[in-house]
Amino acid sequence: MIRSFFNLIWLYRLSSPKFFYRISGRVIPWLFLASITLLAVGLFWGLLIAPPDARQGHSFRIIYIHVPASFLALAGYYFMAAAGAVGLVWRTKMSFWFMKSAASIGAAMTFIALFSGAIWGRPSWGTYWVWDARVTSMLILLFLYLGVMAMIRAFDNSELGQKNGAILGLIGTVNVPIIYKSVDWWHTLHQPATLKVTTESSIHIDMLQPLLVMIAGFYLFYALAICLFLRAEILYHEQGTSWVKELCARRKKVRGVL
Amino acid sequence: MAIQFSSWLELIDMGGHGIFVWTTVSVSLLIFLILVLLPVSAHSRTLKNVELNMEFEARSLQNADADK
Amino acid sequence: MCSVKIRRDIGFYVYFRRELALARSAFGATTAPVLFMFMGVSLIPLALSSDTASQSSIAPGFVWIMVLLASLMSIERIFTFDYDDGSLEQMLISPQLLVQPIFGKVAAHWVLTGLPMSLSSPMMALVLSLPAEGYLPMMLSIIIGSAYLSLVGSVCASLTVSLGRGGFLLPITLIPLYMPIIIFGSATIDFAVNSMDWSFPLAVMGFLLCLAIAICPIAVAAILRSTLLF
Repeated sequence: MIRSFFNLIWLYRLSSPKFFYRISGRVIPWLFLASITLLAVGLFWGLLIAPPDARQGHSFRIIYIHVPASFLALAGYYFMAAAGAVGLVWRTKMSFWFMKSAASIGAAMTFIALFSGAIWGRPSWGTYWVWDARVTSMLILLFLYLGVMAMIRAFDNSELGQKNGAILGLIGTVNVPIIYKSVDWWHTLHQPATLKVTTESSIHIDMLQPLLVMIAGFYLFYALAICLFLRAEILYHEQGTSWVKELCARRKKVRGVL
Repeated sequence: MAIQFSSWLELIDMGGHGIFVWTTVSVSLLIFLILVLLPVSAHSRTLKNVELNMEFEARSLQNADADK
Repeated sequence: MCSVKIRRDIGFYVYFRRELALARSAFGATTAPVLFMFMGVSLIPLALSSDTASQSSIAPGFVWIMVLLASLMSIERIFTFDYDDGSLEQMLISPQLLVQPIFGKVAAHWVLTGLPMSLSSPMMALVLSLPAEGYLPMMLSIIIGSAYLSLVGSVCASLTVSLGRGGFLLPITLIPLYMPIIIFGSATIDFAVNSMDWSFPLAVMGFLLCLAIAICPIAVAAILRSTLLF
């Protein structure tokens, strides 16, 4: 068992669409339950039980959406680029499909992070949008995601599109630190006048616990969404294969019995 | 460890910040719902497509037998 | 002996000269970007007000936005014409390093757009009433920055080459990658106008350019090979 883990055989087997489809079908109900439970507990805890912030009042509760979404927006980009790199090197179809799924979900997460940040800005900064360094680099991250998504879908030949999307994602990973640094530097250069409410370095433990629950919930939901997107992608690309036909025949038989 | 709000109205209002908090939460949950429904609908669409193709193939096989 | 001679013919210099000759035969290849830049500038007083246009504070940023747009609009042509008439495939099957002709083409693109824009930018700065100390840093930053724009642009242009012309995909994918340059480019001019040491942002642009020179031609070669011989 342990030896096979370190041999990376499990990873190799997961790169077979049929095997992944079967395994994910068994995992998805549990992932669904776990993520829904964690999100519900985290939201209840964060929105109802956690004490209000001394300075921001109840509006700080947006943190329970904003921070996990930002985490996944950034991490998701690296998941996507890494999958694309794996696909370029080992030419596995599954990693390109993973990349395509991760692009859509990551873009959605980035949008959530931006949207919640803008709404949070209204009560704490007095304005929806500030050209803050972090906000701006998040917006650029969304542009990068959308660029990759557009690149993947632009080609008639889907394999070529996926490959070019993977290359664009890799170029983006070289550029993400450069962009982040330059925007940071640009921001310190043109320091906007008055917005100094973000003293979130010392978050109280009662506020931190639900945040950790929410982060875990977001990660599980991300895994669930990846599984769902990947299954749809697998089925679409493997339409002509015999195992998909067998699957359909079995479903039909089950429906006939019912 | 106690609920911070004493009534439903207070929970919805959240000291004047309720509109911001609840908009964020509802929009995020809506996007989550879309992230689930989108692949599920694509999945079932493909399945239906495959079934139609199989039926078509079976019928054309039957027709071929009948022609013989 | 003979084969050596052929290989020497298909290098950086040959493709560089070929691009320049092609540009000379087409109308306005070098004047068009400059003209575009001036027409863009003439929109500011119309869209905002003539007072805003003569404020020197918008000059550094606007000069750089126009440089970026001009580079963005012309980068598409770098491979599509050759792709259409088949000479790109000829280039791919030539028996030597692909990096050389690609570098020649990118250098030609820079000579045809970045260089004339840099040389004519003082006129634009004059219209936007940029203080005199900003002129030299502006020209230097455009020279360095536009070379970076040409290099990075050629990567995305090679990704989208088989899609044909006129799509939105190229600008969508390129603008985020251009953002560091526009920040440091306008900062160079800004620093000079505010009599600060403007060598730092210029040095960062030089660093980015070195990085791009090392990576981009190789990336373009790999992408073109896999796209066209797919």
